[in-house]
Amino acid sequence: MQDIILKVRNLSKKFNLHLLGGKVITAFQNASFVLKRGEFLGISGKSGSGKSSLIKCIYRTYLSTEGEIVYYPKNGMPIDLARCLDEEIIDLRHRKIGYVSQFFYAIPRVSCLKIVTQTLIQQGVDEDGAKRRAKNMLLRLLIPERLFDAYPSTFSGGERQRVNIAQALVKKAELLLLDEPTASLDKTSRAIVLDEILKLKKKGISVIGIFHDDEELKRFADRILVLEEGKIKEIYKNDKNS
Amino acid sequence: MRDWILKVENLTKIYGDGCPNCLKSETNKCPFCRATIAVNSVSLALYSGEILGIMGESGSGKSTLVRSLYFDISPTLGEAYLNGEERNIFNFNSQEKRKLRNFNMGMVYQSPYRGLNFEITAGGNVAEKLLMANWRSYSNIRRRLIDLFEKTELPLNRMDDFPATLSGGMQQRIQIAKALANNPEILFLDEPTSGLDLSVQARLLDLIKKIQQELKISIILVSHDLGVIRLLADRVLVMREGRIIESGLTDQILEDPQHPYTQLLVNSML
Ligand SMILES: Nc1ncnc2c1ncn2[C@@H]1O[C@H](COP(=O)(O)OP(=O)(O)OP(=O)(O)O)[C@@H](O)[C@H]1O
Ligand SMILES: [Mg+2]
Ligand SMILES: [Zn+2]
Repeated sequence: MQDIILKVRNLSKKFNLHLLGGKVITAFQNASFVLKRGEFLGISGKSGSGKSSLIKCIYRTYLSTEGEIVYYPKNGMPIDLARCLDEEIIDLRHRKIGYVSQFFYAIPRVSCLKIVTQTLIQQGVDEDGAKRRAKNMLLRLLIPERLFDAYPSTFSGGERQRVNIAQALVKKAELLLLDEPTASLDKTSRAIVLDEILKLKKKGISVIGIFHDDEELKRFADRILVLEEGKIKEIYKNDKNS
Repeated sequence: MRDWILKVENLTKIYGDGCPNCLKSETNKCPFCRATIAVNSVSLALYSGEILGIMGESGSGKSTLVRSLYFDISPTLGEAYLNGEERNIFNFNSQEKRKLRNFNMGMVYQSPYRGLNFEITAGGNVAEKLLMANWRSYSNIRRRLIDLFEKTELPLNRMDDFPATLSGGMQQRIQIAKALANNPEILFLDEPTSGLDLSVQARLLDLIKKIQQELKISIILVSHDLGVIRLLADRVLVMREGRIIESGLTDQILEDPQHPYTQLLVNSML
């Protein structure tokens, strides 16, 4: 039997908008799928089909309405990300699960080097090692040394996104969630980011990723999950990538 | 996973005589006996090294909750435990409570008039907390004061000035220095930056963040300002009418609030 890292079962996300008289909006419903260890699962679908909501439920930025998301860490007990304690999620976010959001909230007045270093320190890396690895990752993502002490809140959209990516990629999570990581990047930095993601994949990190460019998706994904109006239409094996 | 450091169970504070129906009251005014249920059956856990935010509108019971935990107010009902100590800390005798307050806890109040003694100097205010923790040697106290002033980015040459002559931001820093004096494990911050200019506020928030990261102290932070909560808190509790109506990860509360009241709060502030 193949090793599984994530098992999503009957997952639904509905928003109950109390300010609009209790209007209910369904982001997605009845989603069931598995992610194998080391697999890259791409998610595709039109705008509004529920892609980001699905990833946010896994990261617990959204609370799932129904269903379960069972995470099987390499060492340790399986845990339902939809229902476990907030404190357990914080711990997993620090040590095991990385996330690149579509829109990055840059904490004001924290330097770019510090942001990336901090994620490693949270993972238990010592300060010197964390700083060294953070610098390396930033340089690889073409953030020049002169920007290390500057605040990402003042960066260009592309630079800021690369800091966002750096803090997610640097910590070598077991599970990486990507929400259009390359959307605001120019061609050069896009190629570099994709290259770094590919390296992680080769190291056996499991990924669920949304890419707004179908070409990119097909380059990486082992399988592709297609969402249509909140329902999984199909999950197919990506032949282009083998 | 991080260990819990403080656990609170069913904490209730009733102002007035109270009656058997108080706890069932929907609002914080009991319809039967007119008592105020400032805090109603609140349970929470604070984990080691985290910043737990408490938000909610004016009068929702945030201050009463943290002041009860700091023994400023004695609760009507409820229990609180520190990890490794089996007794409910509300049942401690007054000497034990004083000891907890002086050695294990620190508090920063919204108003410096509550947190500082305006009759004595800035340095004297901080030294007072050291004296309460049995510091005796003058030179050690002096050294510790310099250390604390530096840590909280206070100019050393203002040490002998009276609080009234200092800026609002500095007064809050003195409260922080005082709160940190005995290396507490738990820090309570009750609206530490409200009423200050934005730039002063920003520097103070940065200081709090820096201190938290350096000292790995556990913090309960009361604020009605979502910006402050978002910047500092790992988790948030939302209070209304004395009760906790919702709790979650900070990003989840901000992006996917469940309770109608929290939705209103988040929507009106973003
Ligand atoms: N000493 C008191 N006597 C009577 N009622 C009190 C007392 N202290 C607080 N209350 C009431 O308890 C309720 C909760 O007050 P509390 O100060 O805890 O609110 P808060 O959430 O901290 O508000 P704010 O955001 O305005 O600081 C309010 O209705 C308040 O009027
Ligand atoms: Mg208050
Ligand atoms: Zn009553």
